[in-house]
Amino acid sequence: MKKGILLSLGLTLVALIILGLAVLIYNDSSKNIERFNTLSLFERLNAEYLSAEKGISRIFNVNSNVNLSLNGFNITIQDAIPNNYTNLKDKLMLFRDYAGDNFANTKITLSDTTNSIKFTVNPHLINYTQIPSNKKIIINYNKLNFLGLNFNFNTGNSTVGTIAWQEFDGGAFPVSISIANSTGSLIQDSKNIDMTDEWEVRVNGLPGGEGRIKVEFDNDDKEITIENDANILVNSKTEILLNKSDYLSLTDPSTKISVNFSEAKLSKVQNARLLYSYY
Amino acid sequence: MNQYLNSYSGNKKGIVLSLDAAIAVVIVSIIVIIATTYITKSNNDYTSRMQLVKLGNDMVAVLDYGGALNTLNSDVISSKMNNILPIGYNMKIRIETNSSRIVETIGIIPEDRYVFAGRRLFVITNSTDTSYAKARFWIWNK
Repeated sequence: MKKGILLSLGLTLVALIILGLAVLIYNDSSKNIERFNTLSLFERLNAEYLSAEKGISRIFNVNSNVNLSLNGFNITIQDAIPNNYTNLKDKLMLFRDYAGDNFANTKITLSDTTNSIKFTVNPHLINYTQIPSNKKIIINYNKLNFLGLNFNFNTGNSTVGTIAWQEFDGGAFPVSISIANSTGSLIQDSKNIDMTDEWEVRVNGLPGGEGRIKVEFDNDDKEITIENDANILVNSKTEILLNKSDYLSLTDPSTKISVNFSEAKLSKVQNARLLYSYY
Repeated sequence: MNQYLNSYSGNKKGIVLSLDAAIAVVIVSIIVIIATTYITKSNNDYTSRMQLVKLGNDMVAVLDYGGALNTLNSDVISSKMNNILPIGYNMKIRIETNSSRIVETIGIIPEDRYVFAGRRLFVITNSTDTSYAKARFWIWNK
């Protein structure tokens, strides 16, 4: 009799354990639904963000008249002073309207609709700005992450210039400048610039009457200004030499991409990257 | 008399044991049925669904980066899509441009299984113009 009762109890216990495991599996499955919903929303959010970012990058490449490239840890920006960004801004605005109207969750915000352009080099926080109306390129640098700068320009009538600014061990920056035209050398100079120096180089005698190109180094404001004061178009090539980092990206701070899934209270807002790589 | 009593006592034991076994079988059966129900209810393969989500997004990204979406030609898109779509999956893509042009690949979206639907925004550029489009896609297990 006792044996029978023990057997019954044993069987019941085993069955209850099976039931307990089944309930656990069921509960885990219920959590899996929530996990899946959340993960798939993140996937969608990221996919939509990346597609909008790639769209902006493509619009930029085709309409900006600016050529961007990455070479190891160096970023090269080929631009013109003054450039005309009207077409680029128009196309970006159309893209913003299209993304907003027909792509319900994706909203592209342009915080700056003027015709200037600005790139931020991340993670080094170096800014490259051109304000075409002022015919200026301004580079704000962060000395800790900045190894140097090569700036080349040509005026299309054989006047070419090179400005090389490289850091060396002593902490100061030796700058060399060399400008020549078909008749010979206009400027050949070099100087060490420390943290307090300012240096202005003017290249006179360019077409356009009293035209000149002015290069100004301001270590207090950590700013290099290249101004085209001549009545000509100057093609420029700026190479920014950087320290090693895990990633390198060039973003447009005036173009923010915002993707929202309001029902799930999920959103992603970030500046559009125009160029990036991971190491 | 003793013989009768012994026989009666033996039968009683047998009946009790049989009843006990029957009750145990019933209880175990009920519990196993409940357990099976729970396990059947939870038998949704979310890993496979997640795979669909990732595959769908990757597929349209590859078609975009490879330039197939830009062609706005359903034959080209279908051909490229079928070349890279793993065996065991089906996919349909519908593209609508900002000039209201619609391009669609062939395929009927099933109603009897899980289908992941996603979207991708892309820009079509050529030497003369820049236009915009959105690709809506559906992907499911065969």
